[in-house]
Amino acid sequence: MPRQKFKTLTEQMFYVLLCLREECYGLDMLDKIPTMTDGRVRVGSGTLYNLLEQFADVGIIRETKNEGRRRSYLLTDKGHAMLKAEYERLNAMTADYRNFLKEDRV
Amino acid sequence: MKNRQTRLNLFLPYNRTRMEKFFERRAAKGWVVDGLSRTSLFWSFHRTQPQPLHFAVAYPPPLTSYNPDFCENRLAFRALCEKDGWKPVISTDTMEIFCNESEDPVPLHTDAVVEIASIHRAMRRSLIRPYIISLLILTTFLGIASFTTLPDISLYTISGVTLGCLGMGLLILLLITRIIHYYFWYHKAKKSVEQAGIIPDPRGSNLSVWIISIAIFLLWVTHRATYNMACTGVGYLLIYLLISKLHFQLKCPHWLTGTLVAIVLVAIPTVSILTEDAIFDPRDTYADLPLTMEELISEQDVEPQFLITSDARSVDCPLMNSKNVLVWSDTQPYTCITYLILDVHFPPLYDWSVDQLKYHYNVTPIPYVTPASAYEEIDIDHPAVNTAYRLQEDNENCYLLCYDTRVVKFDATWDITPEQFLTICTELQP
Repeated sequence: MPRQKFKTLTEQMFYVLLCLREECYGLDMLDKIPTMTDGRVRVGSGTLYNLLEQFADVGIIRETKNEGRRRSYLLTDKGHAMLKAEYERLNAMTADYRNFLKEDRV
Repeated sequence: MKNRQTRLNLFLPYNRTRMEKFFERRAAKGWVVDGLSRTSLFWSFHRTQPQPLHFAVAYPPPLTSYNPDFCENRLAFRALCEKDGWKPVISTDTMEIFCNESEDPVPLHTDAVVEIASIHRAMRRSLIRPYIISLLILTTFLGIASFTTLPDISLYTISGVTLGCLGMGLLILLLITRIIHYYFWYHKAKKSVEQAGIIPDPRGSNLSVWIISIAIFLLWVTHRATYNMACTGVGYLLIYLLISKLHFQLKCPHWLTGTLVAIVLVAIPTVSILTEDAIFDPRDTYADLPLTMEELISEQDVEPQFLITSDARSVDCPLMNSKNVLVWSDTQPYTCITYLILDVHFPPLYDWSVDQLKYHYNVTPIPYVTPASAYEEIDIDHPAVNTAYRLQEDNENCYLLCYDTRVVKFDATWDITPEQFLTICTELQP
């Protein structure tokens, strides 16, 4: 069954949205995400641009400043809800994992 | 020593990994890609020191102005890429090719879900849309050609129509195949991305486009050359160049230019074939008739008072001739011979053409509507004629002569003598 667009987020999408809880320039995000994840996650510049564009198209983020090449973005209410839903989904998954391990030990 | 090289572009526009590997191999040999021709058919390379460069193909947002350097979205995209060391080397409406000199750069694409969406968006705009427009135009032209030819199906054997329909048919087939190929790959890739997070390489290459384009071009050039119309061909070429240059001035986006060029490329040969030599504008090029009434009259001993020749139909002179030659006399009854010459140079069409010409004479008569008609094979002693038929409808003296590559149908208003029959067979042989 095909996945509904942005119904579940990929790792890259999740961290981009997490960055945009505060106003942030696209260029800065390229450094911010590796810092947030201890270098575990790096978002390619092509991917980041396309993601920002796709998120803006569906109203998950909005452009706050456009200084030619430098543009900053911020999460919308819809984006906040989406990020929260993803956080809860991930939490549920880790809770399931813990429960499963407990049963295994018993 | 040559410092520049050109290579054919055999890559499907959505086959990014193969393109990247190709550029990297070439760079390792000392050739760095620096351009793509406007027709997207050729890559150009310049010589440098062999170096392990990394290349990445991206499908950025469409250009809002002709020059990528004035397109804000494109500049913002480049600014992001340059931060990771990716420098743009080629920029088109559909894609941007970047080069990176670092040993282990951050890949340009790190999320297959996002990448497949951007490829699909770019392909829908720059590949599928122009293909569908071209498909609609071609189908319309083919429809017009078929509609015009339908009343006399034997017209399909004529070079102009055959070439036109063949060319349009090939193009339609090519476009449909390409659209199906793309969507087949896209759905497979989408599934693969959801399940495994990787985009599979599309199979195949642009080679079929090259072969069919060359075939169509050769068909057209042959057609032009056959009719000594090289000048017209050069004229069309100039029109094409003018249009392809004009968009510089108009500053219209690439996809529009691509669509315009596709329309011109398809429309010019099609219209020229249909209008100049084939259906709409028959030309009279029969200076010398292969058979004149005098040759028969001398045997019939008739003194013509005046001779009228007129075209019954001149569709495509080297392949099909049809002439009426009329002679009036005071002493003899109305004398007229009409003949139609059909040269079939494509052997599989020969039997079909003969059948088409005989078909009219093999219908069941309907009282007061359709007269009795039939055809029968007749014996004839002529070295060039393989088979001959008598076609009967009312009191017609109509015959069909089948030579090796030619079919002749003739109709005389008098009972021709065996000597006259042999003269006709000789004069009308290929």
